[in-house]
Amino acid sequence: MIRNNHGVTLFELLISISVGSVVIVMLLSIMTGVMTTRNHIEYDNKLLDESYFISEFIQAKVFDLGVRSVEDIGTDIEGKQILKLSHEYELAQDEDGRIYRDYSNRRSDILLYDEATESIYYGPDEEGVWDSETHSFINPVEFRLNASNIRVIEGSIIEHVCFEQAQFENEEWRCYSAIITINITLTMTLESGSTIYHPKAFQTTIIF
Amino acid sequence: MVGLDKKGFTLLELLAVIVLATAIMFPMVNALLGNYEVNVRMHSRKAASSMSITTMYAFGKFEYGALRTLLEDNLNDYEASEYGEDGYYVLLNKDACYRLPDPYAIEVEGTLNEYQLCSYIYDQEWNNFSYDSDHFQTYLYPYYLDTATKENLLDSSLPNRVKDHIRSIPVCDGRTSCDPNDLSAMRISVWIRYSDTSEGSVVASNGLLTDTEGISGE
Repeated sequence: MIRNNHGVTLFELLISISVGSVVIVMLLSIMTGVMTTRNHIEYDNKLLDESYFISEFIQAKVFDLGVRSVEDIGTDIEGKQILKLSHEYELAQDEDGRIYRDYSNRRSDILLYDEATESIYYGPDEEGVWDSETHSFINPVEFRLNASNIRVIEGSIIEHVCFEQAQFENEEWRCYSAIITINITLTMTLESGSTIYHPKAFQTTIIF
Repeated sequence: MVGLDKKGFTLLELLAVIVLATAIMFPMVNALLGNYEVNVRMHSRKAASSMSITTMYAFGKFEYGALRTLLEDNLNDYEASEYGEDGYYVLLNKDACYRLPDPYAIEVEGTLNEYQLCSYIYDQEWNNFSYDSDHFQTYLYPYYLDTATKENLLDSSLPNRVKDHIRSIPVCDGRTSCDPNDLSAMRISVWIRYSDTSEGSVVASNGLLTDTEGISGE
């Protein structure tokens, strides 16, 4: 039997290491590329989901509450944007069949964006829940819309353009119809507190 | 060197490796792209659904008379319509907002005329999704549908999803108040096509009433 008892030469070893390295580098770069793309997609989706949740929550609340007026009560407060959304009245019928406005069930909700905590909150304007002096919720975590690892960063804007005023109880004029624009920039933080990738901006319009 | 195999790879071996590598990589990349497409479609559908609800509510903010005039004109002579309306309905989209009153009125702070409100509606965004005039349309048609009016609508070029909704509306034949020309109320269907697949559209429908205390859509 003829057997090759020779080992490999240094030259052959170097060549095989070089070729092997090139192949491994190529495979790794493909794998890294696929993983990076997947992470980017997951990150984008996570932020998009979060933005969907925030906008759908606000839209559902606006329609469920039957909002009939909106007031901007945060114009003088630095770092806070606050909208007060009110269900002013219900239409009722008296004994003679006449339709009138029943103000007995008036209630309001507060939509707050706080730059300091980088969060959006939505909750009822009730005693023990909303502190109208400090302009904050007494238990903010309960009313925060964004997840704890999602930051609504500075530059986000929640504003409204009023296009119809109406007179309510005590002959007060308030904004009856408006376009609410939610312009939020979101980013995700890791447990270490650092952020990954770039923040993403989302715009949503609600007309009521 | 004695007995050393000096042959390299044959073309066949090389091709086999390439085919195997492709066979492994292709499903991975395909699954990734597939997931991405499904996500985009899912988000687009959610956006379309939310925008159709917003639009339905927003139409309650129009001066009812402005919408009624459009529908009245159409009922009188829909064959003369310049907007491709081939039945008893009115089509509104971003390009048709100027049919509403005062398209060239000067902007007054704190108010929007019908044209401006219409433009806001069709320019709205939902989490950065928006739709052009071919994909985002609103149809107005009579509230009271007798058999002839219903058939007229079903024979028209309305989108199939809108027709499906109209099919589900009972005809009012035989009732005392069954006049399609009675426009004290009308119906609205908001149609948004979010994907080019056959099922890729959403429809939201509602009724609009004549102004009550100046409040339309109550």
